[in-house]
Amino acid sequence: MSGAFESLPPLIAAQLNYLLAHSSLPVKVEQIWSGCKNAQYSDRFTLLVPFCLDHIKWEIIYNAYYPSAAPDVVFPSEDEDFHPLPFLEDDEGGEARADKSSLCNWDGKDPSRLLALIHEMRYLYIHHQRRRVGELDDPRLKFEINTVLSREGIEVCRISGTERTEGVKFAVPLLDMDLNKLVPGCPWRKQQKIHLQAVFPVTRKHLSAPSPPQIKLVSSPDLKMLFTVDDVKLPPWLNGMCMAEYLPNLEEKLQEQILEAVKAVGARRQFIEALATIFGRPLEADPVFCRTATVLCVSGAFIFLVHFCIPTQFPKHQPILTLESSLHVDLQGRPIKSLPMMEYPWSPRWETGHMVERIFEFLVEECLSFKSYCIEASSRQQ
Amino acid sequence: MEGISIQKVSIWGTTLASVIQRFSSSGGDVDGVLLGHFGRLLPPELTDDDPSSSSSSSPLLSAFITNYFCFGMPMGFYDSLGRVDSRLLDRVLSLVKWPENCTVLGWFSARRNSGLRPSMREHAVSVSLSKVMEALARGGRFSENSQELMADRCIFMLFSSSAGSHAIHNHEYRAYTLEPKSRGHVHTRTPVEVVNLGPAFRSQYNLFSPESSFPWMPCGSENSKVLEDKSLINSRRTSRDSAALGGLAEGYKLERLRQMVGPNAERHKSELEQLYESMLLKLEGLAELVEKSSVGILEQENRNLELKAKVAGLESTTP
Repeated sequence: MSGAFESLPPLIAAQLNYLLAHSSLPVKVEQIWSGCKNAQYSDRFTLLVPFCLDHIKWEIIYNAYYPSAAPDVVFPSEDEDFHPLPFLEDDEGGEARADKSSLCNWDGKDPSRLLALIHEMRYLYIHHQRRRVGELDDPRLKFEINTVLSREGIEVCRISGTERTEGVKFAVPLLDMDLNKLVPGCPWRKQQKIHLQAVFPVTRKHLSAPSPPQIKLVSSPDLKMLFTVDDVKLPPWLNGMCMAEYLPNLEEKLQEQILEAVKAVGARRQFIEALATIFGRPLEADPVFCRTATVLCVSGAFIFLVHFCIPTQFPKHQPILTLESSLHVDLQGRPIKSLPMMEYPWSPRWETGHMVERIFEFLVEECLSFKSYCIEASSRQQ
Repeated sequence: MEGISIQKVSIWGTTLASVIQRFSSSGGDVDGVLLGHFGRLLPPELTDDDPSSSSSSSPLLSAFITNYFCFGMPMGFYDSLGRVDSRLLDRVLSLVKWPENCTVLGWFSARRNSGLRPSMREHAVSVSLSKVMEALARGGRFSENSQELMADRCIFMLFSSSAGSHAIHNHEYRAYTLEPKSRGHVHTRTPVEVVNLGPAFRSQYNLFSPESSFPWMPCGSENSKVLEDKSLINSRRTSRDSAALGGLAEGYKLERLRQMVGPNAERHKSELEQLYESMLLKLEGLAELVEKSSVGILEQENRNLELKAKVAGLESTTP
């Protein structure tokens, strides 16, 4: 990718770099290519713009010979009725909107211009999709939209397909709290968020009992260090329910579980601290979420590392142990590792100190078989 | 104007070839204005079993693209928001003398390696251009015939080319008609017909009117009876034309052709042959000049491209 960046004219590369570095949304570049006779000059690229818990692919078209000219966008064929530009078509305030557009008086030397354009287009796209959903002749969807669309940050889109599979996807941001501030020293740069994804099938009037939506929780990727939404058991969607009823209940439950997950960080920290008393000071440990720790062990002349991977559900779920020899390497020169181990004596009700003691006892036995495994593996190589 | 829909876009083979040549020889993307006229299509063959279908109320229209004007730079006649500058467009188009019955039909955009559907700005330009076209039509700038057929339908042609393997270039083109719908304008795919010579295009021969800068041959100009009937302006034009023709024929008068018939024909034959040969020589010289100047243009274009790349901050690795 870096090579492709170099083939972009500097003015365009600056705008793209600025977009990738400063966008509050995780925009990605999929491909960079050339639209010139001389194919070594690149001037177009595909952006993956996040929208409604998915992404939309936009082709951004510059002109390598005129890098200070404003770019153009080719939208995917399924969005052929999305026309953000002709501001003059709607009479109300069209001119004013045109003057405010980031395309107006385009300054190619300003690296922030592309970012502004993408955000503006995305904003217009959200409204375009809302309008499309609003046009559907489905009384339940009309009701849902009227009741929940006022929530900040909500996104909806139509999923096209055959008449049976046609649906509307809602992406509802949950919890009005700043997840980045839950754990002190949190290294996350992007704002973390949990969304409820609800896909409603489109039902025409003649069907009396509309089927419930498919619902699932989606979280931003970094959050997995602290809390996995897959562990949350969603409250059931009762017949005739609407989102405005469902959401408060779900949010309350979710909030409880997140606060528990934050408490679990403390339990994991205690566990890592307890490791020090028996195994000695860990070589490495995750200081923020306390998800991993590595200790050095010696058994006779055999020296090995023990990696602890501590789950978010600790102490309900026990840590996963992996042994790594410091003396034996495989053919590629990598240290020989054991398979992850979860089958050892464990009870969540034990004191932390007792947990560590029992793991130590287990490892005293286990390291012998790991040692013979290592010796066997390395002797086979010779 | 309601109810008029454009059935197809007919583009002259030479015009299409010229646009593609212009595009493939340019360094980057190209766009410009399409010119020509709207014409009625012959109604489809009537059938005698269904009277309702034959009395279709909307006339069938075809857009005949005969000429184009290419702007040498991107966004030559519109801004970054796709708003057409009608005054600029007017000024630029008035620089060239277009044949009669030749009006703005729409525009084209040619871009390499990109999605073959109208882009964000292209849509905006078509909408804006159709408004300009509408205003022009209302202003009565065009001949009566075309004004009658003038629709606020903007034709948009999209060209794309991609260099395939083994130095084969694929040129693709699509034509769209911008149609007003209940919620804004929509680009509708319209079939394209490339007009060439041949029996398949016989129906279009009547649409062809020869236009040439070559003066009209004053055949039978000696027949004074005909001349007397003509107005003063016409006779003036005839005399001006015959002077121009005389210049081209290097003083070889038309009357001398008369001498080719009769007993002295053999003597005059060599004279005519001489004239023919000198004209051939002239043509060859002209061809040579064209070739040389084409090379010069190509070299200059390549230099320009290099300079443009340098200004854009791109370094060429090829020598």
